[in-house]
Amino acid sequence: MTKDRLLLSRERSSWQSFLSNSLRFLNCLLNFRNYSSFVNIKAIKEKQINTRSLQKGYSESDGQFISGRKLSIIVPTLNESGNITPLVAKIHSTLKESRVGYEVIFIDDHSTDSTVAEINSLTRLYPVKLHMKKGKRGKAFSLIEGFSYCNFQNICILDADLQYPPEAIPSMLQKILDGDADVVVAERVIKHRNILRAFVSKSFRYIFGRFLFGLDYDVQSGLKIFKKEIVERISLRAYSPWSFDIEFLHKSRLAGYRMGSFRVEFKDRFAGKAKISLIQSSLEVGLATLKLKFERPSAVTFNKNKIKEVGEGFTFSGRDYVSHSSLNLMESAFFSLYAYQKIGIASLFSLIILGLFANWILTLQIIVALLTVLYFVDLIFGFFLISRSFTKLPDIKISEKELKSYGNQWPRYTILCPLYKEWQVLPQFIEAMSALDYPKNKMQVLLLLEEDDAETLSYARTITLPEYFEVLVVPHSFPKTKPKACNFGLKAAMGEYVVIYDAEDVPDPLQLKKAVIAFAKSDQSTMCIQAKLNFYNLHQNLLTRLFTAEYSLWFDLVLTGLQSLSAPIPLGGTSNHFRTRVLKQVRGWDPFNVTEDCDMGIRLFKNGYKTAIVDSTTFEEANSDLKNWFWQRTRWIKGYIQTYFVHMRFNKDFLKEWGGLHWLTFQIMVGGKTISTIINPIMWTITVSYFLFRPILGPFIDSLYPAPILYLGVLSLIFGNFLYLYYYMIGSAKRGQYSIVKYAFLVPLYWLYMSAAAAVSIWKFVVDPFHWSKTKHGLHLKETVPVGQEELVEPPGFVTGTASVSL
Amino acid sequence: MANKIKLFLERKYLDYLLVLMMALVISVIATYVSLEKGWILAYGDTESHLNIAKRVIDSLTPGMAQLGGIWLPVPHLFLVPFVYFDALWRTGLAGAIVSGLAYIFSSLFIYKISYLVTKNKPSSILVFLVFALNPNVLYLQSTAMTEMPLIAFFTASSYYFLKYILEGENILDLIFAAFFGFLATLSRYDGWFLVVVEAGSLIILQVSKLGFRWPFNFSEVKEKYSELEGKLILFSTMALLGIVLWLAWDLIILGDPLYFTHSQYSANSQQQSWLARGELPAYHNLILSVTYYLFTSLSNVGYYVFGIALIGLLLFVLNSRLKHRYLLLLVLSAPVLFNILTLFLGQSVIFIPPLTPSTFEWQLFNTRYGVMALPLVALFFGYAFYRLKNFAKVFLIVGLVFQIFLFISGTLPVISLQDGLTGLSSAKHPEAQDWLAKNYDGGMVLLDDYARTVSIIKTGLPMKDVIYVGNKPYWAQSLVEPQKYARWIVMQKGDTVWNTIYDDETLRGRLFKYFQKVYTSNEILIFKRAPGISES
Repeated sequence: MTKDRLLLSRERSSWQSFLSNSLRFLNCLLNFRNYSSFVNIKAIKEKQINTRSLQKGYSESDGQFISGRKLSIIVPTLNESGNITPLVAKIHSTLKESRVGYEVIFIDDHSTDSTVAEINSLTRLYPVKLHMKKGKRGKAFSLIEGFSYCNFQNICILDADLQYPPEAIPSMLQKILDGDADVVVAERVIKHRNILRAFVSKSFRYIFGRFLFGLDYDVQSGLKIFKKEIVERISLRAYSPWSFDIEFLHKSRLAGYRMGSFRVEFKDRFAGKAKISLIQSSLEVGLATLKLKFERPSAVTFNKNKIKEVGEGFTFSGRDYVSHSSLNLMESAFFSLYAYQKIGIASLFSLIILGLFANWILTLQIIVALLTVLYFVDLIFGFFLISRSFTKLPDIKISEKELKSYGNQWPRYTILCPLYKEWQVLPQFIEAMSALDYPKNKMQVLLLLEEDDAETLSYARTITLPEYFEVLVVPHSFPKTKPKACNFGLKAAMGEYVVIYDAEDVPDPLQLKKAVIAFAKSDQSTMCIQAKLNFYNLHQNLLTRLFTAEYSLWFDLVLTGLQSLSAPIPLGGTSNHFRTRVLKQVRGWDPFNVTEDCDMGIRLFKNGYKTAIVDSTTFEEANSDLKNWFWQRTRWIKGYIQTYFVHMRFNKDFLKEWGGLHWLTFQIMVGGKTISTIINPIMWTITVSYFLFRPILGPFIDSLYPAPILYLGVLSLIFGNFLYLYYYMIGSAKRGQYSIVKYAFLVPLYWLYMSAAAAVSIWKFVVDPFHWSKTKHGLHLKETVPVGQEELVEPPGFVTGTASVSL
Repeated sequence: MANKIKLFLERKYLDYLLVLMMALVISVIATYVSLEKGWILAYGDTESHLNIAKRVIDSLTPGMAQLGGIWLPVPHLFLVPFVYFDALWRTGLAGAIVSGLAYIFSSLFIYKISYLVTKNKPSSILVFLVFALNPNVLYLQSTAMTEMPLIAFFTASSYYFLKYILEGENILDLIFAAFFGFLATLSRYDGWFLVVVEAGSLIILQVSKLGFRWPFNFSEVKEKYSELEGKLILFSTMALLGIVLWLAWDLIILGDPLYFTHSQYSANSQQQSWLARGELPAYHNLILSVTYYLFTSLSNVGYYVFGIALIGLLLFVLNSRLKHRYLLLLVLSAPVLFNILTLFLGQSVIFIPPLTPSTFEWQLFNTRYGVMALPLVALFFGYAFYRLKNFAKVFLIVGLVFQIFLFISGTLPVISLQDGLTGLSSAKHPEAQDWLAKNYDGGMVLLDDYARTVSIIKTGLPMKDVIYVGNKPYWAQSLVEPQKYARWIVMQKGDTVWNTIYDDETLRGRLFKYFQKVYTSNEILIFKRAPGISES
């Protein structure tokens, strides 16, 4: 027996029915104004001759109503005696005629009159249910409570006072069923209206509906029909007992639902009186609406059908975002800053400004002292990391013997290669993949091309790809980022392990085998093996030389140092090998983080997983163009800022997730590095000014540095800058790149440029947080590969559309 | 139990632990003897080193600028935490702690160098003992003199550099060599020469790898050149940093990057005065420079040990199976070569009998420089032990014990100590010093400490109450208005206070107006503020 039938098949014995009607009659007598309802009851009673057949009449099997035309009607009540029975009668007659299955759910908000009795008397005659209010008083809360009792896929909310004609319900429902709208609002047409009332009502509609929220609907309408999934997906707060409508309409629309309206004649109250005056209700609702205006819109996840259609994602402010990941937004950079984070930052700045007004010299001294300590800690920690990298030799080295003794049982491996407008490097990538010393029948190379990248798509069609290659076309959607494409690819990953390579990458041919053995050598909590990255075009120009020195330092010394501490490791953009199963468990990459690699490293750590570095190198293309480098660096620093704030969100497991001193490591490596990159030019300017303009600025600058801070500062300035410069030399020398060691002397210029990028990245973080400024690749190629003219038949493995494997 | 002992002895770092423990014990005993005998502050420079460190934290104008611009700063910086305690400052034990630690550190690295070359523990232990039991070293390690810190950084830098050469050219070793070289350059000027020698050795090493095949493979040459360039820059950037910083320091603090050599207080200026007096015998005389230094070394290390070391040197040079032996020799000889060079250039002077003519005013000066050759001598002594047969080994040990006995018995003079006690290096002890110690009853003292008129340590003056040239505003004003801060004025004929105040009629008038002379001698006058006149 279906749930619907259960609702409609209540039977009562005839004596029970008699008793109930008698009570209702008495009740009507006591309340003479509602006499007419008794008349209606009589009429209904006539129809009730065979209740069983009436109720059966609404069963689907009998075909009394059209399949799918079912409606849960929620009627909030508070002292609506006299209105209930005629209302139900009207609903019944209307919907029966229109062959709409229904249930009426009364939520009574502590009525003191006979409302409850009236409703109770109807429950055996109609598909009526009564729920006594449990939560806070007020219509809004009644409605929210009522949603949980609804059994049908469409919901109607209706005032009990019969001012809205139930006769409009079938037509309004039809609009939804026809797909014209997801929410249909009854638009009141008032014939004889009090001028003051009309003015207040209109003003309210224009100010709060249209002006504040752009809702050109009757935002105070007491009759609405909408899909049930809306209230299942959006989160309603109800800022006041009477403020449901605007919030509901506003959030529904932000969740991507379409609005529609239907004109109805608005009548006077049938019985009883209004529970709140117009002015009072307008004020209360107005205030609540203002609060709503300042509420952060929430993201509404896609429903099952939509997920099936376009993949995982959500709607926010009316816009769909397809992330192909069910990652909780709390763990995502979609919201750059939470309210408390904004308040924290604002408070900090306010404190500084207040301090400057109150005692500017002391305030500056404190700021200088804090920054100096930060630099000093960074200096010590950096030294500690580099020395550990040398002394502990933490990167996993795979010997030739180990490679040989592993046997032939290599697991299946998926290689994700997101490509966007970089068809030039595709031949190089194919060559690099072909060069991998790994059984090709165990390799699954997924080329992730974007739907709107016609050039690359066209090029991919013209060349014959090896049979272990598959082309996946990522449907065009927002956000347009590499991690989104990777999430898309991850769904189709069949390998036990998965790795990302950029299209211009040339990995060590033994890297996959080394990664497999490295996983086998590590404990089960090692979830990611990061290969070292370096560049093949280091000699192209000065920028590539400095960039190479930086990479040699980062991957060969810093990350290995972090590994030796089992600390969170900000992963590199490519050549990170994962256990596919666990990667899916952690819900893939954050498509809104522009350094999803860094974020992933930290997230893995917080989930209790380890990352290890394998002694195998992937060579990439160093950015050789100043402008291109600038925007790439801007994105990286912006991503670090995003990652910092994402992982500084508080939750109940905050301390547990971080555990001990690793939180500090994160502060230094992600937060501290970003801050110091931004602050560096200021500190350098102070230093240079001190020596150049000592007679003028000397005493002032001296006054900012009390003796202990001065010594700490000078120590950090001299040894900090020297050591960081020297680390670049060490990194290059350790990798055997002796010819670029001397260029480390120019690293301060590189840092300056980096600081400029950092300044822009802050701005970008504020205005355009998850815009992915694409780095151009292939600048090292002297000759570009021409796109073939011939039209090839779509090669095997060319799949368009969504992948079927879910995360 | 026996098994436990065996296991303990087989532990990896047991030999290091043994060397460290023995060095510690010897160091403590030697320091105790020096303290008991009152030798710790024998050298005049000892007090100056302690005072520089003390002034960094405890002075009228404390701060890093008190480090000055002539003596290199690292030994003083190491002294700072110890001189904070007045007892350690006044007894000179602060210096003994720093030099003692440097001695222990040196002992370990001398042992390690020997083991690196010979892979033989007994001979390496012997090398350690030759170094550690040398009475001149034992004396210097109980003072605040800067030789021990230099030896420590020299041995550590050399160890890593030799390790780099002998064990696979690991860049980490090169970096460590550069790092200790950096510390050496900031300890004594000998360190500057050391890093230059190491850099030169690096070039030689890389060039030697090129070979001389014909025809030249240019790409290989280019690659090797890049490697040389990269490694040289990697080494030099760290190793020469100290020198760059020192030049910058002198420029910023004293306005002249070469202040350390231009200053009137510099060794160079002192040598010029010796030259003017015709008492700089080795100047521009290579043979005499070599003779002076080798004889000084010989006097410090002992004839016997020196002789055996020569045999060791011969065996070392003749061992053609030993890779890069000339390069190793060059690096280890750096302090010896430096001293010979500075004697030759007239940048330093040594007076030692019988080489120094009896017509010279002083017969003993700077003999401690000979100690710098001890690590090299000890290593070759050990090498001889390693290469010689069993009987000869016994002979070597017996000879060593005998030499130590001769030193202890006083038959052989401990020449570095002698210099401190009776040579030109010794601290003066004027009668005025005792008078001041007895009569000082508080208040600021104007004193030209560079002229070492009286000892601050021994007179019991609080460092905060001394006005000297390093307390710029107080010093400058006191030389114009002596009564402004000082309650006491101590002056010695020829020092700045005397020259500026006493020799100037107006100022002398003012001096006598506010002060009364309370002590008079031929050289030193002491003034005390007249009763009833307070500081202005």
